[in-house]
Amino acid sequence: MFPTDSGPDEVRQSKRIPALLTTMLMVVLLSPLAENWKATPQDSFPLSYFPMFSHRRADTYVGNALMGVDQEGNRSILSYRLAGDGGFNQVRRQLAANVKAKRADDVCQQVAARVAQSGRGSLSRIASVQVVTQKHHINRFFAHQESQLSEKFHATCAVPRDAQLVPNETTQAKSTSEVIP
Amino acid sequence: MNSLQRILNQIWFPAMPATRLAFLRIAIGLFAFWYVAQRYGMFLKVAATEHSLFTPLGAVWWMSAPISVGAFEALLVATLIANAAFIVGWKHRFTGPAFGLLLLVLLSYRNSWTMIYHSDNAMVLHALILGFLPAADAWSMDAWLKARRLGSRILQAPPLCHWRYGWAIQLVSAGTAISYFLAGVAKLMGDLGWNWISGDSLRSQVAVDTIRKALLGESTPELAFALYEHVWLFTLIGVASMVVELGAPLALLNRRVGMLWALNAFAMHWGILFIMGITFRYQLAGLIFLSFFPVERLVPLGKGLLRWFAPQDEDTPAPVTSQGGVR
Repeated sequence: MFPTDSGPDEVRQSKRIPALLTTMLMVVLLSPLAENWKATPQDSFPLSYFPMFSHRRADTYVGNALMGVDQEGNRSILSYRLAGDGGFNQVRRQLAANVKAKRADDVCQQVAARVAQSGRGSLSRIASVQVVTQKHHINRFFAHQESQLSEKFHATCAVPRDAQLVPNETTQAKSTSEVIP
Repeated sequence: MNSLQRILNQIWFPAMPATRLAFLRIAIGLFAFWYVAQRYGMFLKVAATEHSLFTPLGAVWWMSAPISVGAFEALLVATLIANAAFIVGWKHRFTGPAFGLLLLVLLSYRNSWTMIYHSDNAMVLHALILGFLPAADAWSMDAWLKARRLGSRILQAPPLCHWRYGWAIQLVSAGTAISYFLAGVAKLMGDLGWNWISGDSLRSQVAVDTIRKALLGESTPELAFALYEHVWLFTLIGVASMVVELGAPLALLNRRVGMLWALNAFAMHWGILFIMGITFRYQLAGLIFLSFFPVERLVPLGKGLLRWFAPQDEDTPAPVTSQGGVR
């Protein structure tokens, strides 16, 4: 593809193909721009139009969470790592997709099984798992005030350990902001 | 040659040393190797995810179902082998394109499970550009074997300087600059428009990201809480971010502007890390910006530092250069 150094005319001639390739590459790299004008833009890889952080946000945030409930009914937030692999945002999106597709029970069972397997530290006290969607007020959250506006339960399941560790009732859970990894 | 041609020639075909391109090959190759090897187990777990969550895109857009975990592992291993050949510059004419394409397929597949990790984009583009262009003309097995064949010592060979290396480096820089430009345009074309730079809008992006993390048991950045009340600061950051993103193409026009832009973009990513806790590793490591700097000069600098720190035997004569002078 590359000629050796020669006279000016030959050099100019030799740059024609690189110039053409450059033009083609620029067109390809800039092609995701078109997504901005589409009604339903599609992101891709590696040719992305980089839509992250470009959407308007409301004063409230609605998102899914995994809650652990201990024998006393104390609730704590469980780590996303119990729900899947592939990084925070991938698991978050997969959780949302599963909840939307009414597969929260499957997620719940998977998380409960992982909690049972781990059997260490705070996780050893978790008796049941809940998959929920919570709505939070953003300003109150950052003011360290009670920010939860609502909560919807999608699934509740017992952690498969000893029979006596499985709670009979998990809906009497108390709220707490403790996070269990 | 008219003036437009001359300008385009200066932008796209500046003469640059082969060693600069080689430095990019080695640095980016090492990072890619670490990135893939460190995630080997995690990638396998991702490949074993429930099939209903598979949404193929990029180079694997045509797939109707996921491949077996065994086939994916073979792809992983092949990518790492090609990656190693890419780093050492062995048969680059074949292993370079192979590595670029394998990495493209591997990361397209990895990003086909409901989430695109945008921090991978630039690395793949850079690997493709470096893989298909003569990035192994220096500091490589190919160059060493060629020098041995020709009977000359490679260390004594003068560094090659040619527009074809400058062109490749400019393409790498263009891949970087365009990705930032696209991100800037997407923000302006989104439902916020120019309001994106208002402190409230940017702050809401940071806030949502923080609450998401809190709800799923991920650690939240303390700085997001500390800065939340200071809307003016978010306005400042928003304006600066937009200048960096929309101004990215200017970085291609002039080396000094390019270096200044790269330093600002680099600082932006560290700011994102501190405020949002997002680790764009390729960007935070500065690898995405290497093409804007004469990085090959770091090598003699590093050698000099090594000599400085190395214990010297007073009886040992100083090394003599090929020109006969004492270094």
